[in-house]
Amino acid sequence: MPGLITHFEIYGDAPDTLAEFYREVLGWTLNRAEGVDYWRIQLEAGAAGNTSGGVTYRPALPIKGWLQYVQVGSVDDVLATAERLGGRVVRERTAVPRTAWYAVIADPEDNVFAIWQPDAKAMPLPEPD
Amino acid sequence: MYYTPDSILPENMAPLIITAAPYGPEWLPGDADIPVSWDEQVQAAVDCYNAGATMLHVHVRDPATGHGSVDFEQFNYFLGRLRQAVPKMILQVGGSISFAPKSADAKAKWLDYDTRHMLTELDPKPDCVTVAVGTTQWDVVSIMTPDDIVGTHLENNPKVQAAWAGMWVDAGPAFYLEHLKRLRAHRIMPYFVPGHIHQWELIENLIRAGVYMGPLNMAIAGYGGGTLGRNPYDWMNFLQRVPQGASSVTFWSSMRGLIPLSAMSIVLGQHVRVGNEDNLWGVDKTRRTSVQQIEGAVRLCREFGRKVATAEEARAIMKIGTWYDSVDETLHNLGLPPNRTEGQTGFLLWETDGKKGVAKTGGDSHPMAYCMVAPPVPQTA
Repeated sequence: MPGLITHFEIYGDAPDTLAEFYREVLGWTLNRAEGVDYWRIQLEAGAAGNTSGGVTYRPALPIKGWLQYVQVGSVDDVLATAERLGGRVVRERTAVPRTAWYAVIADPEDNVFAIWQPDAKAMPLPEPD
Repeated sequence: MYYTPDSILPENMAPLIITAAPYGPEWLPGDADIPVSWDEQVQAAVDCYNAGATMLHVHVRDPATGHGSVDFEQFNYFLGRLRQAVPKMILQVGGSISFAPKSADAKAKWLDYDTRHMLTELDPKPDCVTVAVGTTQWDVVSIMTPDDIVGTHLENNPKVQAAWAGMWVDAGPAFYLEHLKRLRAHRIMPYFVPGHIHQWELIENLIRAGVYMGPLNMAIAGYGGGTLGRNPYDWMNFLQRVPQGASSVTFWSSMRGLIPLSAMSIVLGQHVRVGNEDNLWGVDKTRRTSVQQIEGAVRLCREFGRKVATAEEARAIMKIGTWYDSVDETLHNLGLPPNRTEGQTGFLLWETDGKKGVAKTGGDSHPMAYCMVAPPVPQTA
């Protein structure tokens, strides 16, 4: 539903070690997804306010702290609105294959968050190698 | 290559090696039968093998991003799954990969060519890695017609077309000399992909210099736009320059042009590569999946009377795992003349013991050998 937080991500240069940190500190279950650098955080199923998350390598973005993803109806529209109101695009519209489009925004006070538009057909354009 | 009169009889040809290229890195899933998840990518290999392909041209798509993977660990992971799923298949990794380290700091420290040389350190090892020798413009779009891209993301998208039109392959000596050295050290065979005769000349020079000492497996890469185009005379001209002892030559081309060129290749005793990386279409201008293209190559080959190689035969034909220890041994096995020795004049031949060879009983088409044997003296009563 638009406006709700869908999930969050935590970044580091050694995400496997970081995953262990959160296992110990918060008692979370984190399992690496097969074949990719993503440690899924499995919170208690069905718990109130349950929001899933993941730990992965830090992207080449000025992000410190957890990154919250907020569902939107249209990434393009929200990016335009955010820029008009003094926000800054940190990462352009990007695909998570067959799942969603997302983008990262800094608000006028430089707080960073992500927006998330579910789309089962999302796929990035191939690039010449 | 030199064709004797019986060379083009299908029963005398080596069985056909079909390379499958089902990972189409230039396409989106909506464009063609593109596998994305790990399971889909593995299943594509299984399906191609079951359809008759014995060599797999491997690209890796990162299922988390949808882009071509630049993650060394993902390549190893995928190769491991392929070795389990299609253990007999010859795995040929596409060589145009620059691996990226995981963190931004490390990325800044990496040297460009080192990220490409990491292909030689893949574990499990692939059987071959494609090696471009000679920097080349590789404008794959220039030879395409509007029909070729109907229904793909390239249709009516000049910006994306221009990006592909501007593709070029960086493969100067600073890259390939070191790369070939490392491939040998790791016992991974190079699979050469010359785009025209003059790149074959570079490869021959590398062989004569001892930079590469092993069997010769190569594609003739004809995608136009800086590489060979579709003029059959050019293909024949190239084939004429290929040494007699080359283990395998595979015709690579694109879109519907690939179909007649594959037919040419099959009847000339050479080998084919099919799949969505090269072509999306059948002769009737309707879509063909990678598996359907393999089935088509199998049908055509059998119709002509040539055998399709089993995986074991394909490995034997390509001499997978064989290496030579000297320049002379390599030249001899490849059917190339020896290197010139100091002061030697004239055209180059291998030295012999000077004895006349035994006349062949057939096969070289020339009856002179028989004529030179004196007929038996008639017995008189």
